[in-house]
This record gives sequence, C-alpha cells and structure tokens, in this order.
Amino acid sequence: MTTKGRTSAIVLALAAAALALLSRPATNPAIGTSDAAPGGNPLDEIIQQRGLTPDEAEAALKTFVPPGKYDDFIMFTSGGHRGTIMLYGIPSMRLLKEIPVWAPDAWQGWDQGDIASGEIVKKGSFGAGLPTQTWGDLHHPQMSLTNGKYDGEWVIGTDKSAGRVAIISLKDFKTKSIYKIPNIDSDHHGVFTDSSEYIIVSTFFPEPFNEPNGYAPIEDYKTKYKGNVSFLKFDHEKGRIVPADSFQIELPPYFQDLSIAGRGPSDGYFFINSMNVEMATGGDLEGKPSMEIAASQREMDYLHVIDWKKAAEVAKDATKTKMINGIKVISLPTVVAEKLMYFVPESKSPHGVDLVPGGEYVIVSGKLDPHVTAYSVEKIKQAIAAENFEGKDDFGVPVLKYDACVAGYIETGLGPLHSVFDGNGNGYTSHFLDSTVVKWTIGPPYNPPEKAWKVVDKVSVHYNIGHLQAPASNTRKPSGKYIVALNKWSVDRFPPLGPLHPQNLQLIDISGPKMKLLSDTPSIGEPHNSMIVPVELLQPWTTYPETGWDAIAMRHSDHATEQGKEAVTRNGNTVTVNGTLVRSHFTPDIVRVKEGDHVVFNWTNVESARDATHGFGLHGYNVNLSVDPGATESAEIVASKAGVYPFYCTEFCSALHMEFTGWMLVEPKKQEAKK
Amino acid sequence: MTDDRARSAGDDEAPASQAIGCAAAVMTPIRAADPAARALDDPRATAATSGSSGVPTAGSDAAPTRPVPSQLERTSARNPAASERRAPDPVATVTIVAVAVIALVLSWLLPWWVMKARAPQYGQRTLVVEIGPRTVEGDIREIDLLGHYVGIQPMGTIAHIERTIAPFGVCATILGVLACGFCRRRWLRVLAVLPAIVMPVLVLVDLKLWMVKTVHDRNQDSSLNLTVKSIDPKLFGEYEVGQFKVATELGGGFYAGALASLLGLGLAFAVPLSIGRRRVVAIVLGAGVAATIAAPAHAAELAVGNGYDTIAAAVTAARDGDVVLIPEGIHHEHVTLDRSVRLVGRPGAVIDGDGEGTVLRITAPGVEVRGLTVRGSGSTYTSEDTGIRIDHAADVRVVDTRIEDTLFGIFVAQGDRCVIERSTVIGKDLPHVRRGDGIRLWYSSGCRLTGNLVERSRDVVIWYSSGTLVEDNVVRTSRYGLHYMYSDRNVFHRNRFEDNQVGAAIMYSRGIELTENAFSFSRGPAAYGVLLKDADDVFITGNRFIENTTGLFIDGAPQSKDGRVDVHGNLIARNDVGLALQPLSRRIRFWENAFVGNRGQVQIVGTGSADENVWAVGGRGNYWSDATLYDRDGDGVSELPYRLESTYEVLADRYPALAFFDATPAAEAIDLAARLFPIFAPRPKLTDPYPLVQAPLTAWTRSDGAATGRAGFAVAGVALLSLGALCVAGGVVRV
Repeated sequence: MTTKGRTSAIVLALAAAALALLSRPATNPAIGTSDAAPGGNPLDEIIQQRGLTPDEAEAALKTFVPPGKYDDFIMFTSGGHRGTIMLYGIPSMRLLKEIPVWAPDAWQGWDQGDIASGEIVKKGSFGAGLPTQTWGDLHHPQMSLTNGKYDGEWVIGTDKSAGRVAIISLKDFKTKSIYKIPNIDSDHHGVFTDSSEYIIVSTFFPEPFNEPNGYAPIEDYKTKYKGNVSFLKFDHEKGRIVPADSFQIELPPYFQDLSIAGRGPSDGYFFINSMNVEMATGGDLEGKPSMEIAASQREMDYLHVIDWKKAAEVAKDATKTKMINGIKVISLPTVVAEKLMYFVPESKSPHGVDLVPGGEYVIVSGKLDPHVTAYSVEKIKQAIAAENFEGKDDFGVPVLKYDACVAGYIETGLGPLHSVFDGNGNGYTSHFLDSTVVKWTIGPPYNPPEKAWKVVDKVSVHYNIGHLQAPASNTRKPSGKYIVALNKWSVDRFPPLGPLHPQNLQLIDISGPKMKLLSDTPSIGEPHNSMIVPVELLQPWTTYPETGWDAIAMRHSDHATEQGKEAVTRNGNTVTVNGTLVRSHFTPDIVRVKEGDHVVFNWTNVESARDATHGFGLHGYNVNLSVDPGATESAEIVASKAGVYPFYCTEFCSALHMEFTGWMLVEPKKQEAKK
Repeated sequence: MTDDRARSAGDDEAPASQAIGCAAAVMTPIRAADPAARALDDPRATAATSGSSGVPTAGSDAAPTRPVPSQLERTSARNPAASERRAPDPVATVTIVAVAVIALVLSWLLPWWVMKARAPQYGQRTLVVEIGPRTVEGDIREIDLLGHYVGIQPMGTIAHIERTIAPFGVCATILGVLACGFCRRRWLRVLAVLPAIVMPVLVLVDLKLWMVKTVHDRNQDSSLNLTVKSIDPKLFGEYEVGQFKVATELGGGFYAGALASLLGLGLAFAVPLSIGRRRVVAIVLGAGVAATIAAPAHAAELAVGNGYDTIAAAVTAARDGDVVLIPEGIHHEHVTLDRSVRLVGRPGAVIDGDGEGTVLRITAPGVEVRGLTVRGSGSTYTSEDTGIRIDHAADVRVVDTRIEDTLFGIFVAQGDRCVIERSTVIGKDLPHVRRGDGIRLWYSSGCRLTGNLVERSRDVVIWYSSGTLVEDNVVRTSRYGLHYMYSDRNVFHRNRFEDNQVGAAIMYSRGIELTENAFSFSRGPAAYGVLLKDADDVFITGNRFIENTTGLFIDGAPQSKDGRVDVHGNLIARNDVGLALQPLSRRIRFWENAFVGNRGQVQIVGTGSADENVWAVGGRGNYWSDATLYDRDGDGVSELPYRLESTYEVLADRYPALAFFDATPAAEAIDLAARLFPIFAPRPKLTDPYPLVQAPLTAWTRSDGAATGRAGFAVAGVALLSLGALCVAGGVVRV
C-alpha cells in the first residue's frame, strides 16, 4: 500500500491483459466481452436483461436451430423401462420422436388393439405359462453396421427385463420384430458385428437353462447355473434374425455385461465385461452376505475375449453343439477345448468396455478404480499365442497375464464408467462419482507415445453421469463435434414438478480444445445409453411406397382395400370390415354386427399426402389404430356386449376432422333367443 | 431330612445352616427386633428356615471344607448371649463369602440375558442370543443380518466399553466380596461389597439404555424401514419386529449375580474375619505358584528350529492357545494359521514368500501375529496376493508387524473385531495402478486400526465394515488414503493422510467422526483431502486440510432428512480449492473453521448457492483469510459479513490460462473488471454473517507435522550438545 500509484498501474495493466485473454475464446467478439457499454449493442442488452454470462450467450447461439432448419445429428436414446427409443435432434436437443418397442403406445397404435403389433409383442414374450409382457427395459440402441460404419438401415434394442431383441426399421421408424432369445431372460446389451453378420447379445443373469424345467436350486449355482452369450444371425436385407443359423456359447455363471465386437486388428474378437466372478448369490435373509457385499469381495473381474469367428465355425459342427430349447449351444468344456475364449483380469465391477475407432485398444473402466485401463489387442493376441497365462478360472478358462495385455492407464478421476471417441485421437470418459467428463489422448498411432494416455481436459456435468455418447463413436469413423452426457440425476437443474425428477441430458461442445457445456435437456424415461448419427444418414420414407402397405411385413398387405371396393362380409359369426380412410370419412361408416360376433377391421389409409395420418378409435373395445398414409392396419374384437359404439379419427387431419366418425352397432343376441 | 442334617451339622460346631440363618438375619436387621426374627438367631430354630430357603447346596457343601472356624467363632457358637446380641458366627461369614464368590463365578460363566427370536424364514429354528459379561453368543450373524434390514447396528459393535471393562469389573467384585470378610469397619465392608450389590442393577440399566439407543439410532435408509416403523424392545417379555417374534428373559448369570448381590448386602453386616499373617503369605505364594504352573501348562511354546524345521510344522503341532516362536532369520515359507495360536517373532524374524502367492493366511479365530516381518508376496491381482490375509476369522490381532514388498498388505475378509496395531505396510515398488491395498477391511465389523504406517500402497479400504476405530495411523504415497464405503459408525482420530493421489473418500455411510486428522498434499488430477459423498451424521472436527487439489469435497451429504454434517474447527489452507460443494450438500454447519490462502476458498459446483448451508453457529462464523473485517466491539467477530462472490473463480474455471495470475493483483483486477463491465454478473456464493477476526486454531491444527519433526530434532540436538558439553566439562574437571 505504500507505493499506491505503482500498484494501481500494475493492476490496470494486468486487467487489460486479462480482458484480452477473456475475449479470445469467445467466437463472436460482439457477444463476448465486447467493448460496448450497456445500452450499445442490442444483443448485449438482451444478454444483460437475461443475466447471461458470455459462455451462456455463446451456448445459446451454438444450440439454436432456426425455424424450419434441421438439426445436424439425431440421437437415439433408450427410454429404459418406458420401453421406447427416443429421438433427439442435436444441437437443439429437441425431442423429435419416440418409437414404441416393449410397451403399448396409443398415439402410434402400437399394441393397442392392432393385430400385427399385438402378435409381435406376444411372440416376443416369455411364452407358455407366463403372461404377455407389455413392458420392457430398453437398453442401448445400436445401429446396423456395414464395414464398421453405421448404415442407417436397422436399429436394435435389448431388454434387460426379458432377454429379447427388437429390430426397428429406419425406413418407417417402426418395430418390425421382437425375438425372444431362448435360454436367457435378460440382456443388458447387444451389438452388431463389424458388418452386421451377427447380433451378439450377452445375458446378465446366469440361469440353469440346461436343467429340466430350467430349474436348479440356487445352492447349485456354481455347477448348474450358466452364463450365456448369443450369436444371432442377422439377415441384413430383411432385418430379421435367423434362429437356425444362430448359436449360443455357454459361459461361467458370472454376470456378463456390456460388450463390444472387434474391428480392424480386433476383427473377429468379441469382448465382454463381467461382474460377480465371486459367484455370489445373495441370500441376505438366509444368513449370507447380501449380493452387493459378496460380489465386491474380489479384486478383479474378467474381461472375456471370445474368438467369435472361430466359434461360428465350431457351431457349424453338429458334434460340438447341443440343441437346447431350439438353439445350438456350445458347452463350456467345448469352449475351453476349442480355445474359443480367454479371460483378461479387469478392474472390479467394470461398466464400460469400449473400442477405439481403429479397433487397436479396448478401453475398460472399473468404477471403483480411478483409472481407465487400455488393453492392447495386439498384446492380447500375443499373450494368447504365447499362452502367457496367469492361471485358470474354476471352469478351466485360461486367464491371460494382466501386465502382458495392458497398453496404458489413464488416471482420470473417481467412478469412471464409459468411454467414447471423437475421431481426433481423443477419448472421453464419464465419471459417476466426480460428475465429470474427462478428455484424454489415445495411444499410438493416434498420438505419439509421449503424448499418449494423458488427461487433457475435464468438464463438470450435472449430476452423476452414467453413459455418454458422441456421434458415430462406436464406429470406424466418429464424427466428433458433440458429446451428450446422460446424467442420472438432475437435482436442481429443472423446476421441481413432484418428487420424480427427470434425468438430465447435457450437450457438450467438443469441437475446441476445451469442452464446453451447452445445454440441459430433461429426459423422458431413463436414457441409459444412446447412439448419435448424422441426420443425412437417415433416408426414411415420408409416406409408404404403395397404398395398402403392410408395415410389419414391409410389402403390399393381404388385407389392403382399394377405394371403391370397401365391403363388410360375414362368414359364420366372423364379420370382416375391409374399409378405407380418407379425409374426412370412414368407408364404411356404419358397421352392423351381432352380439358375440368376431369382428375384424382392415383399414387402409388411401391417402399419399405427407402427414395425413388417420386414427381409428373405437369406443368400448380398447382399440386405437394409427393408420399412416398408404398403410393398412387391422384390429380384431369380439363384440361381447350389445350397444352402439361410435368410432372416430383420433388424428386431427382436416377442416372436417370432427365429422370423421362412424358407428359400430352391436345388435343384442337375446332377441334371437326369444324367437 | 434337612432338619436332621442341620441338627447334626450344628452338633459338629460347623453349622452351615446356622450360618445361612445368620445371613438371613443380617439381611433383615430391622425385623430382627421382633421376637419371631429373634428366634431365627437360635441355631436350632433356624434349621427349618434354611431348609426351605432354596439356597444352593453348594454353599452348604462348601462350608465344611473351609478352614476350621477360629476361636471367636467357637465362642460365639457356644455363647448364647453372643447370639442374642446378634453377633453372627464367623462361619456364617465364610459361608456367605464362599457362596457369593461361587455365585459371582457362575454369573461370569452364564448368560445374563437371553433373547429368543422366531421368524417364518427360519422355520422351526429359534434364534438365540445370549448376552453375558464375557461374550455375546449365539446366532449373532443371523440377528445382525436381520437387524440390518431395520437399521439396527451389529451386536458386536454395541457396548464396547462395557465389554472391555467387564472382566475387570467382575474381578473387582469378587475381590471386593473376598476383602469384605476381612474388613473391620462396616463402612469399609459396605464399600467393598458395593460393586456386588449394584452390579445386577447396573447391568440391567445399561442393557435397557443400549436397547433404547440402538432402536433410536436406527439407520434410516434400511430397506424395511417403511414397513417396520417403530420397534419397542423389552427387557423381559415379548415383542414383535416385523414378522419376528422376540422373547427376552433373564439368564442364569443374572440370578447368580442377584444372589451374590443379596449375599453382599448380608456380608456388610456379617462378622469380620481375621487370618494370620503367615496364612496370608502362604495363600499368596500358593496362588502365585499355581498361576505360574497353570499358565504355561495352558499355553505351550513351540519354537521353530527347536524340534520344528518349519513354521508350518510348528503350527501343525500346536494346539489352540499355544505360542509359536519364530527365531531370527529369513524363513522362506507360505504359512496358514488354521488354529488359534500366537505367532511371535523374535527380533529379526522374517517370513518371505519369495514373490509368490499369499505369505501368511489366517483362517482361525483369535490368532495373534506379533513382532514379525512378512514380505515378498506375489503380484497377481486375480489371486489377490497378500502379506497377511485374514479369512473368515474373528478376533485376530496383528501387532508390531512389518509387511514389505507385497501386493496387498493386510487383507481382512470377514474378520470381525480384528486388531491391527503398530504395524507397517510398505507395498511393492510398482506404479500406482499396479499396486494392491495397504490394508483392506471387507465385511469385518468392530475392528481397530491403530498406530500403523502404510506407504507406497494403493488404498486403505474399509468396505461393509461398521464400528471401526482408525486412530494414529499414517497413510502416505498411496492412492486413496482411505477408501471407505457402506460402513457405519466409524471413528477416525489423529490419522495422517499425506501425499496420496486421491485422498480420503468416504461414501454411502452413516455416523462418521473425523477428528484431528491431517489430510495433506493430495495432488492428483482428481484429488481431495476428503471426498464425502452420500453420507449422514458426519462430524468433521479439528482436522487439517492442507495443499490438496481440493481440500474438502462434499456431495449429497447429509442425504437424509434427519442426517447431520458438522464441519467445525478445521484448518483448510493452501488448497487449489478449499471447499467444493455440490448442490445436494445442504444443511451442513460450518463454523470456526479457518479458510486460509486457498486459491478458491469455496467452489460451488453446478447451479447451487452455498446459502442453504449454515455458516455460523452461536454467533461465530469462520475465519476467511481474504475477508475484509471490521470488529468495532472487539469480540473477535467481524461486524461486516463475509460474502464470497468472486468472479475470478468462475473465470479461472473456464479459462485455466488465468490460473497463471493466481495470487496476483490480476485476480483482483479481473474482479474489478467484472464490476466495471457488469455483463459478468457475479453470482453470490455464500454469506458468512459472523466471520472471525482470528483463525481459531487448536494445538493440533496449528502444528505442522514437519515443523514438529524439526522442533523435535532441534530439541534433541540441543540436548545432545548439552550432554556433550557436560561430558567435556566433566573430563576437563577430572583432568
């Protein structure tokens, strides 16, 4: 304080320097620090009025999509136990669509009286003895690949609650089939191989599927319960699973969790994370440690390395497989004898197993270890060739020497879970405990060795991030630009509207050297994981290619009706209504049936204008069809109760939409009885 | 028949029944005034009473074996006048003492209180827990597991102090009863038997208090708390907890104790005894000799090298309770202790695993390892190669042991009540990521870690282990100084966590006391002095957080509505960020802490403001080294509140290049710039209404370890110099 003048001079000089520094990162100097005094630039006035910081103003500009313009990317996000897939636009983060998969959706007429979707759901359920399952826990949407790149054709969803795979066509964004995988009752994760030869699905809960009635007491867990990985042959053309060419591999009763199929140097290999190699079974009320205690006892779990191409060859040999519940199964002893699988120790309770774009490194994060571990595929191959084993597990599967497989570690933070990649040689890992996304450098050839496996940036997210996703991250050619953090808790980010809070999808700009948080978006359902693709990749139909289209079979419908050929026909007590929909009437708009009749409605929307979807909402019988332009949809009811039941178009379609109505008259049966 | 026996006993001048009668008389001194009671004093009249009094015959049997009654006894027996003066017979005193002592010994051996529980899932089985002064026995695991569903803490962690002092208490009581007989003054006698008299009542009261406390302190997060809203435990009788029917009753030990208590009361009014000095000497000597003979007979000593070629051979030959002595030298062995032995190393005794597997494995309860060096485990994670592994064995002690060059140091898996004391663990010379844990407690409750040093390891892990005491340990150059999850009611006192990569992470737990620890120099990219996440009832008092990336990070604590987190009297200095608060950290009370020279004093993560926390208690806030203070009334509390609203931190977060300007006038300049250009509206972070004028440092928070060390050296140096000077002076004088 003694040399006051000099101090203030220094202060002022440094202030100027600091300001210069501040203005640099801002893209638009007019918005950034700006030399304008309040009241100058109108943009600054808005910014001031709204109390925005320069970063917030910048973020607003970066995420704004002007009216009539499209987003650059589409994100497919799992809806969790809402049983759907959500589609968001990036960077606006607008919710664009929700595809119903496991659960009924009245708007889109999914499993809401519609015959075709009803059958899909029924066929995809557990089967005889158990009810049709009309909910599911959708995890991890994945897109079909051609030569290691997203091809924009098909998307699959897996169901942790049931062990089934749904296939969605990206021609009309509708679920085409649900395949209930035999022998498993849960699948957390499924992936396509590099060119979609197979969909590989690891189960989560081991089960005694090889035992009579699928039952064995839990005390026989180690001997009779088995893990399982399914290789489902995929008919890329038709978008269907071919059960006859599919097979399964029996695994030790660990929890086989997330997985990834190799590409490039790792082509032909399949990697699965596992948990609970302790083979704990719980039993806390029976005097045993509870599940989470017992399953966290040991230091390491096992990364499963499966030579799936070799396994596919073995599966073709009938002497080496066994048919169990309609699918070929390679038993665990055969797996060991044929050298199809090796283990690599991995940090306990891992979440993510991710492959760098070129396929050279497998990235694993054990959530209790503040490091991310990078395994070199080359080293793993060498260790396999040299039989460099640390030992064997209880089932004889060789365990490769840990140190012989590791390429590097990155000390990233607490609770690392999943990693994604940007195409510029960087990885990004989510951290549940720290609530951060950490950016780090991949090893050679992406970066020179001295710059490899180093943390370069970190950004806070809000809060408790689970998965994160970057455009085309899980392919040979990631697009970079953005990351979406899928945060489990939103806490204080949105106005509280009751005690169930949404999760928080946060958009992060990764185009510069520093990551920047751009926006918060509340989720619907539980977005476990997502997949982001450039919007140009999607080339869907805007209306169906032909009038009278069967959306499920993807061809002309057997029940299509041309305009002018509408009819109501009776065969015994079955009444079939072949009708059309057009703005603004049903033909026929009066349907006369008798109490107890079996009634089938086949409605064809004969329009070909975009957006001209019509609905068929039938009172009293729990039916709502959504009939898109060109489509034929069917519903089936038993007219169990006499009365007059109006029906109407549920989708507002025209000026005369309110008149778009009809009647179903169910004549009482007892009049006949009286006669 | 009892009548006859009493009579004949009376004729033999050693009237046991008479003695008991006397005891009855002295127990009711007031009633003794009326004629009926007086009649009791007549030995012959008492016979019937004694016969039906239900006193154990052990007492009557014991009496004749005692030394022959003294002169005084004989006189009083013969002299009816003495009887009338209600001066009881010394034989009576001896008998009462004997019976009381036997009762006390029985009470030591028998359960005092028994709880029986039945539930559908256990079928016909009744779970029984017996609580006595020695142990808590029975189906404790089952009861604990059931208790955990309704948030009741494990039984092993209850009444720790009481169980520690119980043996001394019972010994004191017995000694008191013995001594009472020889005390001449009544008040001395009363004093001597007082423990015996009050013990049963004390035990019951203590038990009841613990029951109330346990039920009151139930963990609110337990899974069945929704269905089991309240528990009303009873000392005796039946009650229900969920679908459990619990019946409690007093055990034999209590009745024995109560008997001793009544007899003790009588003893206070009994006639004093005297023993010749020679006899006292003889008894003491005899007892001493007996003890020395008995002790080694109980615990044999097996020396390795002396009849046993290997440690394993000695262990195989040993029986429970034996001592296996390991001589100086390097023993290349892998040892499994499968019986309750004490493994004692002579100075220089080393067990070396030669870099293979686990070196010392303990699978029996009650093992003690002392004075050994254990080294050279393997380095394979999948087999968890360890120096000392305690596997499903309770009450194991590892004392004064050094563990070197091991992947894991000490791994305790389901080893309740283990004690690790004054031991050193130094891990393998491997990079952090390839190390194992220095000490790892997994699912082991009621353990004590005191005075240990852990270096160059990965973590000290405490998982699923409640009721742990961690005191006076030093954890250095490791990864997590402490990795602590799902463990309740633990105490950390005077530990030092230094130079670790992450620091201490405490998560998903309830009831943690952190007092007078030092968390310093945690400098990794995600490093914390302490990271506290999703925890309740955490009391952080008088600790030092110095030179960490982040001093104290709090997220989601307290997490329950009734949970508390108090941060009081800590020194938080020279960290990059002193305190980081996530928005779910609310209702925390911060007072009398000193925030000194942190680059960012407090960082608010996310959208939150810290104002949902309490920044002053009782009119005293915290000391902030960057505060502008004004204390007109000189009460040490500034009249100007402290407001943290520095823009600089927000910017530094965004533009790390600014960190360059740290602690320079530039930081102030940027704040100034913000005020000049209000486009950066600074957001207020917190307000401390009563900032302190001076840093409230305690002796502990003030002292810096290194400085103490230096001071110590200085003192030692001065002392040595003085000594040298004295010697020289002495030499000079002698010369």
